[in-house]
Amino acid sequence: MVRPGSCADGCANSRASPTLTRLFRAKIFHFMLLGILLYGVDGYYSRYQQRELVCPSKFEIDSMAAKWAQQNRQPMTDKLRQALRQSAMDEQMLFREALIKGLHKRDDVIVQRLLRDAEFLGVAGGRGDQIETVLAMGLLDSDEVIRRRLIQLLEHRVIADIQGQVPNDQDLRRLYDDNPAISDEPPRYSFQQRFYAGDTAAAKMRAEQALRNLNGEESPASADVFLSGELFNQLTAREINEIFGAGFWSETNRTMSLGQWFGPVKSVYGWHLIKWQAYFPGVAKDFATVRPELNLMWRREQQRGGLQAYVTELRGQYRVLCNDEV
Amino acid sequence: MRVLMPALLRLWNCKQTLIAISTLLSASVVSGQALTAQVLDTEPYQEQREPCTQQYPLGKALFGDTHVHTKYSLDASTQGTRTSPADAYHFARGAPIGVQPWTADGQPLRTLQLDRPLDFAVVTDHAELFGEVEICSDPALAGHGSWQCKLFRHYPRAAFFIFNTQSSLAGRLGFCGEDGERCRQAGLRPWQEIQQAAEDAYDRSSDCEFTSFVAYEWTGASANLANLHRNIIFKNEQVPVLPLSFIDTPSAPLLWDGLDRDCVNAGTGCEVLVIPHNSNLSDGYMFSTVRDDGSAITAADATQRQRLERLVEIMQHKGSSECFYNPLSSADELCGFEQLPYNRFSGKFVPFLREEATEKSGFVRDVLKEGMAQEQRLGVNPFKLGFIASSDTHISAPGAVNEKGFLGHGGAGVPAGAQLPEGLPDDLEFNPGGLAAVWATENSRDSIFAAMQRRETYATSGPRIELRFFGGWQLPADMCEQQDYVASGYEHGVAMGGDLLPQPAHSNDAPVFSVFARMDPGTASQPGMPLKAVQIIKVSVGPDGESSEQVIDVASSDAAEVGVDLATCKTYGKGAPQLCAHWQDPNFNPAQRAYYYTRVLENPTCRWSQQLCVAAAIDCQRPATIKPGYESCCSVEHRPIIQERAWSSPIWYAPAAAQMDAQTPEPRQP
Repeated sequence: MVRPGSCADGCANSRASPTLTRLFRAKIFHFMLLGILLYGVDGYYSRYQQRELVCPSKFEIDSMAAKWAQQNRQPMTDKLRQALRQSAMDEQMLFREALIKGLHKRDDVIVQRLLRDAEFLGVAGGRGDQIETVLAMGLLDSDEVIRRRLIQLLEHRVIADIQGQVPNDQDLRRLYDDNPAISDEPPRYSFQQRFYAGDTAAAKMRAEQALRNLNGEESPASADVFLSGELFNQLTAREINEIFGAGFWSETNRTMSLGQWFGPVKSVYGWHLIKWQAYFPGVAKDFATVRPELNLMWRREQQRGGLQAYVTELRGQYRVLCNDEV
Repeated sequence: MRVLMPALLRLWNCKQTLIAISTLLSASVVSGQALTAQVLDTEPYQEQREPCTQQYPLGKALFGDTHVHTKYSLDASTQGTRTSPADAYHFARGAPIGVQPWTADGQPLRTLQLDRPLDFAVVTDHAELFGEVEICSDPALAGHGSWQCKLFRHYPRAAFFIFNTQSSLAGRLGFCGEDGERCRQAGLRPWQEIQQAAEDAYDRSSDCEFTSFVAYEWTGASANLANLHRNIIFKNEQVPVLPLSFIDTPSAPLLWDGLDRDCVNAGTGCEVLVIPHNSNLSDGYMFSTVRDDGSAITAADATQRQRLERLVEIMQHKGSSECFYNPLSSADELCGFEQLPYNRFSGKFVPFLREEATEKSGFVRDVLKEGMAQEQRLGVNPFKLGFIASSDTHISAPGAVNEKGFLGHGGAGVPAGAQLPEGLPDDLEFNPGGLAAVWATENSRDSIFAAMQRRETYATSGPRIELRFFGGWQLPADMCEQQDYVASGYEHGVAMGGDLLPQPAHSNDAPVFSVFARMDPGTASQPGMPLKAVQIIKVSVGPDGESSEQVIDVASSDAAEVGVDLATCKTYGKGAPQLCAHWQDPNFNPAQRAYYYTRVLENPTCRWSQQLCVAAAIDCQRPATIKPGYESCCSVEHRPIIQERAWSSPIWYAPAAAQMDAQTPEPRQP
């Protein structure tokens, strides 16, 4: 029990209180507090001032559009003009934001480039003075290399913030379900072929004759040479068509008969007799097998989304001054 | 041979590849045949990966693109390219890619997709931020109005000082600090992302569907701004901590020294290839025979160069570098293929810097000839280069090399679902670029890199033509009729990229060459074009330095008349689905060094530009039909027809003993 007037646990506080009270009443404290407040307000106001974008003028958009149309030979549409305008403003915004964050002061490439500019312009003084001088001259704005570098540095910072994140099973399951192609393992075929050159009826007849003359022989005789060879092992339909031409696989597939010669089948090169040797049915790769690819997909999705979210958020922090309509 | 072939057939079908290889080894022992290159890279992997299910013991032509720029190249990002190395690899594997411009919520307004995925791709972003010359030269680029660029245009001598003489810049201004470390450190972030993207794209599973390599472009220039660019490709994930850029190594010899120091001799398992490109824009400086101090190169220099520079990019977006063409004096009129009207890129935009190419401009055919001349002096050929082609895309679109629908590689792409563009999307002299083809035994880094190192590669201007080229002293005369054509080629000769084996003792026979080409089958929407002809090009240099050049038609289709109707772009006449030829050099002089390569030609078609002119119904006889943007259709510079083609890597001959270069793997004795 604590009696009134005693100081069971509050003596220290009660002893410190007069010190704090004296501190709070001191003019120097008030001065410092005011300084901090002013510093904060100034910083905020300064960022507020800097976070201002000027819309490209109609003339500038026209110029960009003309340049773009000249380069790409595309008819310019309102949607394209809006995209060009927004792209120009986003670039301006990211560049400004990188400057606000002081990235230009910490990147050696930019610092050395500023020094190079200063040296060329004959700016005297030490490195610090040279850099301050060229900054004051506004060279940052006009140097395309520095602009691009700063934007990339900022993007890297945003991506680096995302990179620590790890997807959970639910995220990856969603990607697995939404992207069936990633788990699709197509069927594969092994086969032997004999080639009869030419797209003529005579070539086809030669092939047919060779097939008729098989008589238990292992392979049809008197075929021509096909540069890619006779034996093809475990190819997908796409891979087969890449060798023989579009449509070759689907036609042969319809008449497939394992272990038997059949044909002739037409390719872009001529006629072929074919013997399927093995068939490997397609399977769906399970979740665990494609997990590394899903991880990659998730990471790319996060990076894209993170960058876009950052840009969108940043747009809300910038005032936009537009003088004329696009 | 009777023993070897069944072994090969068993190998082809056998899942247990190692067992089959053992069989093949045994067969080779029994038949007494030397093992050939195709089985040399079936060694245990030098990396962590699953063995490939698909094995091609006689090689498979894998198609890829070894020259790709993404947003990390300044000259790509300034054109609005936002797509990353990872996006480029996805595109190469068949996924669609976004192409600028972009909507407010980050969606591309256009997309592009390959109708046939690539087997491999290599992102080669510029290691430097040295895009200034292009920016300042191209009014379409965003930085064109900067003060530096104004300086470049109005005071070229000053700009030369600023932009080009890196060594003096680095020394005087300490661009990267005294040891260059600070600047290189700054490049870490993109370099790490490039490595990660390559790793993510590489299929290390047994499917072996796609291969990527870690790489970058060294963007060097000579004192007069001529092109010295080289792509630096690493075999595996063991790469230098930082890329050596032109800033760090401001000359090609310094680059090679740097790569030897940071990669080859670093003890990390790093291996590297250097692939020069666009010697057509090099004004003769790309393949210099003098060192940085002006003295002649030594045997050691030539050896180093031959070890690192095994291939050259013979064709790409900015033209063909095969051979010099002068309409008034060139005997080989097919050299007039995708030629640029200037010998340096600066000449494109600065009229008083414009000069036309000459015999001394550095075209590959002349460079290889000079290599043999140097070999007579030094004992080593510094320019022993196999051929590949690539796109040099700047929109992260590897393999987008079709003439049809070409919309430029410098900031354009195919509009999704839109009509054909209203005008020509690129400058008239540019083209969609080509592809690199390698004869690999499987789709893995080890196998593709090994094929590149032994130069068993070829280049195409876009089509996926399949091409074999063998040389030897005793190639069978009936090889073209043999079902085991390829096995026979390896058994009796050497493949493209190799050296002719020593001439058999007591033989006065001339070497024999066999070439076999198969047309690109195409796709459902774009059928392939049949073949028109096959040529062998021979270049020789005698002991007295006298040289000669021959172009021999060794095979052609029987079609009497082939061509293309320029009014409709419809082709007419037949061609050959396959062409094969056996040729013995009738003018062989054993005392002369020589190299031989083959050129395969398709039937002519409409060039990309003409296809767009026709689609727009431009009739040059009726000026009213010439819409804005299509004026070039009717200009004298317009080449409406293209004859797509493939170029094999050469096979070299040297007197006395064939010069087996230092790095070509010796046939292994079983």
